[in-house]
Amino acid sequence: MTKSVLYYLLFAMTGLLIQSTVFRDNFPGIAAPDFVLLLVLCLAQRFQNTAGVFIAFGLGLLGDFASGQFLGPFAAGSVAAYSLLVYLSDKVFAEKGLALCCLAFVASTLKSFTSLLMIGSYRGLTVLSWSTFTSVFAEALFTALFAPFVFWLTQQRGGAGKSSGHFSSIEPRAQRGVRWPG
Amino acid sequence: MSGFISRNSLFLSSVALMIVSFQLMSSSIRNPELPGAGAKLLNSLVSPVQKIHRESVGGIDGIWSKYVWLQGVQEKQSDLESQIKILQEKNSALIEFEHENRRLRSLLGFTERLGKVGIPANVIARDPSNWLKTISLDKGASDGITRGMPLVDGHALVGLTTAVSGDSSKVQLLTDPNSAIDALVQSSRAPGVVEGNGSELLVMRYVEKDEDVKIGDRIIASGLDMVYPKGTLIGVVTAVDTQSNSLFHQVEVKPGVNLDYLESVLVVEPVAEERVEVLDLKGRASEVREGVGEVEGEVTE
Repeated sequence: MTKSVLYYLLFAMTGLLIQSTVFRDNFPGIAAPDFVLLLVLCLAQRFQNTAGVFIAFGLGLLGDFASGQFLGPFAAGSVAAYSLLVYLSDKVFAEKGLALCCLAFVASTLKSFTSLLMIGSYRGLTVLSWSTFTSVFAEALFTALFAPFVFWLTQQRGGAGKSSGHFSSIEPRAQRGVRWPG
Repeated sequence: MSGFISRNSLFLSSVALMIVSFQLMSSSIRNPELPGAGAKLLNSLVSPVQKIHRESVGGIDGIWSKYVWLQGVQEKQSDLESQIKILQEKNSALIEFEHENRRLRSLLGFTERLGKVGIPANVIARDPSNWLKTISLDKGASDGITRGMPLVDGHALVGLTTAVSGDSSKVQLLTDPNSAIDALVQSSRAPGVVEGNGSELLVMRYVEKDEDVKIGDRIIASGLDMVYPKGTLIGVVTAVDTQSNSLFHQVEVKPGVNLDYLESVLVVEPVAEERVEVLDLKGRASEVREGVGEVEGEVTE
């Protein structure tokens, strides 16, 4: 478990570095994919338990530190995205890349709106402008495009564990003692 | 009860962590140094890699354009053509030097106008998220940069340093939702507050309805916030909302500098210290005036 946490931390830091340098330098003004969210997506597939939600929170907090403006919005966004994905995991089978992309798109949009609402609740709802909405959807789109690659990458290494390639585990969650209300 | 908790542990943990996030957010608003401390730690870890990336991009481009391409070209083309290529390379390098020279001259001109010495710095990274607007610089505390120093490029304001580590710093750009500057409309001297909202444009608030604001007006820093140098350009008015029932105009402002393409900036001292000196001078002037008054009184007697 500790090993996995370290791998996720390393992946997250690498992702943040790529976002802040490669994407922002070469495509200024264009939304960059959210690699931390994609790690949360992989996490929701691997760890559907309390430890998982804490790791998701930690990954989000790392994003907050990277911006250095507020603490909490990205952490809350990551927790919301993780919770949604765990909730969907019994209902959605993401065997194909397209399904993964759709999940990443939905999770990214939820994460962005959670973070924006948090910032808006403290700094005024002017942050919810039309250009912000387009930016949220552009980010979700780019994040979705990279989802199959990041999934494949995390499955290549032992820390993430071996996968059947399905988003939903074959074993029902109820059998593993995890339950989501509703 | 314990059965309920263990069955719903995931749900309860998520709710608890959401509450913790709100609490953290509230703490970071009350104490802005809190996120800065985390950013400082992360910055000191990643800034060496960011600097290497910045330096290596030029190197890799050079290897690609000067070696890989020319290998194929040399086999096919004559010596003359390869000479033309080399000259074109040199010309391209000269154009790059010219751009750099212009940028540096512009920064130098700004320091001369401001009467202060600034610290030139290069942008090494940008904010990983898409709506918080920050950048990282390659200069930090070891170069004399401290938290709360304003940044300018050749002719306009850029932002403010928010977290400074040994050899790098984090800067909040004007467009960040957390940014607010006390400002004036240059032509009419109408006061207001320019705020970022996460998009590419700024919003100027609290400009009274009877004030004259037009599209194309220049917005400058008033200096009253004791941070940004007075008279420095913030941006240009692109739209004025006069239709709403509010007591104030809502003015849309385009930043005076394209913040997406920043390469070099100048970190200058905040005006607070300058103000203190001015206040001291005022104090001394009144002392002198009092002294002169006393002498005059004695002479009359």
